[in-house]
Amino acid sequence: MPEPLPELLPESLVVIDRVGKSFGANRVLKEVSLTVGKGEVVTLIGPSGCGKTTLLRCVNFLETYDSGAISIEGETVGIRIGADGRRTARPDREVAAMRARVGMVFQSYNLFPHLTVLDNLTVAPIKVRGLPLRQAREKAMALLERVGLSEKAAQYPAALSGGQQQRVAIARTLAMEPHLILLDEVTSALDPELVGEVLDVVQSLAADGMTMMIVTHEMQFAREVSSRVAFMAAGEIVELASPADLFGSPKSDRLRSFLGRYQAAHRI
Amino acid sequence: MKLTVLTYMAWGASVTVMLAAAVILLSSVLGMGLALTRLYAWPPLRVLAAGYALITRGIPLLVLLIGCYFSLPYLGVTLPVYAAAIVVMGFYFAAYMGEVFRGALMAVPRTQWDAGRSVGFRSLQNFGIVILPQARRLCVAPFLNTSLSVVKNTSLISAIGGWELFSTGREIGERTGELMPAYLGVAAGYYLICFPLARLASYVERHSHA
Amino acid sequence: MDTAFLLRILPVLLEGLEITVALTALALVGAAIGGLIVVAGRRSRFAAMRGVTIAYIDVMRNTPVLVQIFILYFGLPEIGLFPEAFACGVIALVLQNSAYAGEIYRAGIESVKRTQTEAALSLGMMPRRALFDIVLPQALRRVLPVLGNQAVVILKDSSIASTISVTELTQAGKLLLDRSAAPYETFFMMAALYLAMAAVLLGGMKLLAWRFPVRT
Repeated sequence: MPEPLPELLPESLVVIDRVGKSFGANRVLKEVSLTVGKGEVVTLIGPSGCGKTTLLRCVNFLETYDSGAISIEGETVGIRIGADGRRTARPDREVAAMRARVGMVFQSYNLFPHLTVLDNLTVAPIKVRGLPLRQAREKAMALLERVGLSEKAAQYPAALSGGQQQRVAIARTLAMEPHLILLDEVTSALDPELVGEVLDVVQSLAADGMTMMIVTHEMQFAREVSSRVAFMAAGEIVELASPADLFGSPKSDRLRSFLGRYQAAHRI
Repeated sequence: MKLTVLTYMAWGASVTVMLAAAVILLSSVLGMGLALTRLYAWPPLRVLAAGYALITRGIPLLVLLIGCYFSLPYLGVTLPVYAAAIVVMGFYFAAYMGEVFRGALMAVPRTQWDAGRSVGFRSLQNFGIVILPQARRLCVAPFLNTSLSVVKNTSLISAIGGWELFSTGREIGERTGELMPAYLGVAAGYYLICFPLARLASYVERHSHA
Repeated sequence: MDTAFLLRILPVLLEGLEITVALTALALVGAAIGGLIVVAGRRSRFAAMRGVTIAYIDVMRNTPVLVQIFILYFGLPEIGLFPEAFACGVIALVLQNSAYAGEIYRAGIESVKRTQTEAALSLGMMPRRALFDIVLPQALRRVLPVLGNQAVVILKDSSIASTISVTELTQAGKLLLDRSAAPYETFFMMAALYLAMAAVLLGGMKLLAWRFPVRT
């Protein structure tokens, strides 16, 4: 299925252009192309091991990629490609500057356990963006308010439930005022009754027009929050469509069987 | 000439090895006693054993060696210097060996005791058949590291007049006037003795986690 | 025991104690910093740097402090350097314990999950900032008890400086033992003073561990 050329989408924030990656002999990404427009929410679904998490990590350069290019706001991620096509690594400083504009929320929250909730939110704005302490704290408090956890500001992460920790992790990411947020299976580690509170926060971000790339196993959520959904299998994007089309009239056998298995597993 | 120097040092090295072996043996036996006392004995004895470990580990070995060397004659005890050194070091390192064994015994999950009891072992059987073999595997690396420390610390025996590897370096240095090569030679000697212990310890450490 | 005698020797021992404290304090600071250099070398991206560091750790772990002190004090003059005895003591303790401190730091760093670094990097931190602000604080808290034990080892090993005539506590005691006919009093006093210092060190570490608890 042809993807519109990047040049034709002036508003595109992320352009993934024929990205390939192998772990040894295992090709986890095979020429994956995808663009994410400003304000769009693109959700990646697919069986485990299909490469969706790897793709998301490549966008933030937590994972290197072997071929093709990812660019965010016109700047290639992690590498520079010369006029002659030669790829050179970007210096740490440039990679860090790119990451400062891209938020990431992890499956296992990854809050900093030795810092209070408030300090988790202020450490990067202060140390990376040079925000004055007072300003950083005020903003952090406002964000905690937004995710409904302002009374937890002085606590340490270990004192919070999984759902609360994940909401703090989202607030920590927002504190850097990212242009794009990557969410990697943010509810997979949570007890079922805590999933809702986290998805509500993500939902509200989408409503505010935040650009997001989401890897998730929650199909209902994907259907509700996404502008477009990409179905990946064996390192490729097999289908890419609006949620209504993708879930309503799946075209490929692989997607049909994936959705069938999902429904079977979730039928009570 | 060079050869005789080397032979002389080899003699010193063999004395060091024998001293270390004796100290390791004595401190292991005493240390096992300490560990068992601290874990399973009548509570007041446990406190006593813990106190022994705490105090011993807070005093420099050199002070203990010198202290005994000067004090024993006043007590009317005349021990040969080697015997005194082995006894002092044995009791000193018993505190460390005790920690090694205690750590290993404590690292065996409590549920193993229950498992042993459930198949009908009595306490002593349970300890010998179920707990000890598991603890033995766990204590190999720290035991080797403590043994390495014993080897290095035998050099202090020279300070109370015992003759061993370090003393040969001093003698050769004084006689030939070439101190640097003599002490570097001594360092090489200790390195050769300790290196296998260190390698074995890190090998065991790496392979025990799997 | 003769208390009058104890009171008479106390000032001599306290003078030695002062030097022991100085030796130990300098060696502690030196080894704490040296350990950082060692762990940096051990985790360097250059294989040669790692090799050199591993060799250094190997040599330090496998040779006694006593030999190192003698090499510094008696060996260096042969190549035209004449360091003072006190300096030799400090340097030898720093050399040896930097290797140990480095390995302790490394164990701590490796016990902090990789995901902590990833979270820090994803917030735009430079790798060095992630290490110093996120990973090291957690690593140090975890190894605080081990570092405390190593600090006591440094204190005890400072007694070895007596062999090159630094008049620290052990040497002061030895001189008293040589001159007096009351070995027990002197010996007990020395032991008690070392124990007191060890208690202060361990107490300090306990305080630090209380102030900076490990949180998971």
